[in-house]
Amino acid sequence: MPPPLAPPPVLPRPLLLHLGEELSLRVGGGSPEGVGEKEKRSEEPPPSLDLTFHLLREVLQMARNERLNQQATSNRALMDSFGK
Amino acid sequence: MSVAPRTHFLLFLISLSSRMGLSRYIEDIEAADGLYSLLSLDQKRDSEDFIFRRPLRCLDMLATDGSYTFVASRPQLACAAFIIAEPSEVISLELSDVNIDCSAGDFIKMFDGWVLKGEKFPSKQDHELPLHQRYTDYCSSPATGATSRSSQNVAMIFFRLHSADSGFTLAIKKLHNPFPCNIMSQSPEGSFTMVLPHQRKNCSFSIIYPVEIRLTDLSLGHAKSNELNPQRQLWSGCSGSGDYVELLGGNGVDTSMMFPVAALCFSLSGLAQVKIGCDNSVVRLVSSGNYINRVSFQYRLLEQSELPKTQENALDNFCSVE
Repeated sequence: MPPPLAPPPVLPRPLLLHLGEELSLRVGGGSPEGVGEKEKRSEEPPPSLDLTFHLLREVLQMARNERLNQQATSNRALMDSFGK
Repeated sequence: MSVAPRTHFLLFLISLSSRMGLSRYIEDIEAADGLYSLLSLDQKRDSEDFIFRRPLRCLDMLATDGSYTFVASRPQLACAAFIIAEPSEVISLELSDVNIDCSAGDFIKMFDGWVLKGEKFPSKQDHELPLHQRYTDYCSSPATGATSRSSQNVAMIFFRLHSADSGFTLAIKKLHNPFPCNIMSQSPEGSFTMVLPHQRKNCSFSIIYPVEIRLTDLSLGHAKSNELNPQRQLWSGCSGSGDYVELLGGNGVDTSMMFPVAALCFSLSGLAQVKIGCDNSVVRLVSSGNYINRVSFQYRLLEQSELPKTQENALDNFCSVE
């Protein structure tokens, strides 16, 4: 039985407060119309993300920490397997 | 041993080396699967439990192999996830369990690189594919649009879901890249060696921090004298030299829009260092394809005291350089 999904890392409160100020997310590329979606999709500008470098570095650091924690967990599980 | 037999003996040794595929520049030392290779078959089957899984956020950064599931609790019209690997890796993405309504305007798009404020990394000049080929649109073709592989260590996914309970699962797997080109550093400190063996292309190593960069080794096709040539306003640089290394600074991710800080046109055997007080610092290797070019460098985060002071009424938009 697969283990339950791990919860995503919780964003720190200062980061959450900054999201409203610093983050502007513009993601285009979709059309609500049913006719000619492919043509309309190809004409629309590609998606982009308005994110400050400060916020980008914050989430990057969180991702690095998550990877290190996961590596430690994986190594621990492997060592437990060796002991069986 | 006289000269002629010695020559023949040396040629014999060289021919043996070439048949064995020994190369100074191609070193792909793999530790196989590391600890994983020591497991028995049963243990390896059980290792499915070792696959990392977690929910995907509307705004996310992913640096771990695994499976990420997004389920919309409400309409999510502007979501994106950055994906980053180690410098010597590329990223394989695969969508599964996709439950979206393309006709209603939902979409999932994977991008070969990063997009930030409209700027792309790698830039159009540095990427081998035209821009439209760097996007993989699931809705355009669910059969082929469910998988994507990046050309460098960064990728992105954009998605829009209009209905609650719609969603998808994204599987991330990193693959080894023996000749990395165009790298986004995960950390503000480290070292790297970039090698371009007879390849006509431009490769950038991007560090999204203000850093001091120290070039420790530079080997370019033409070996002549060398001097670090800092340029601030008049940029003559190394244009026309064919193969060179340039240091760039700027406040975006598109290297073609960044300011040239310095350029080195000739091989370097000593140490050269530059402080770049910009949000993004880049080492870019421009290669004609005629030679084997190599650049090694170290970088560290600039301390707060080393960052430039804000000047009032400053009209110069260029980050400080020392």
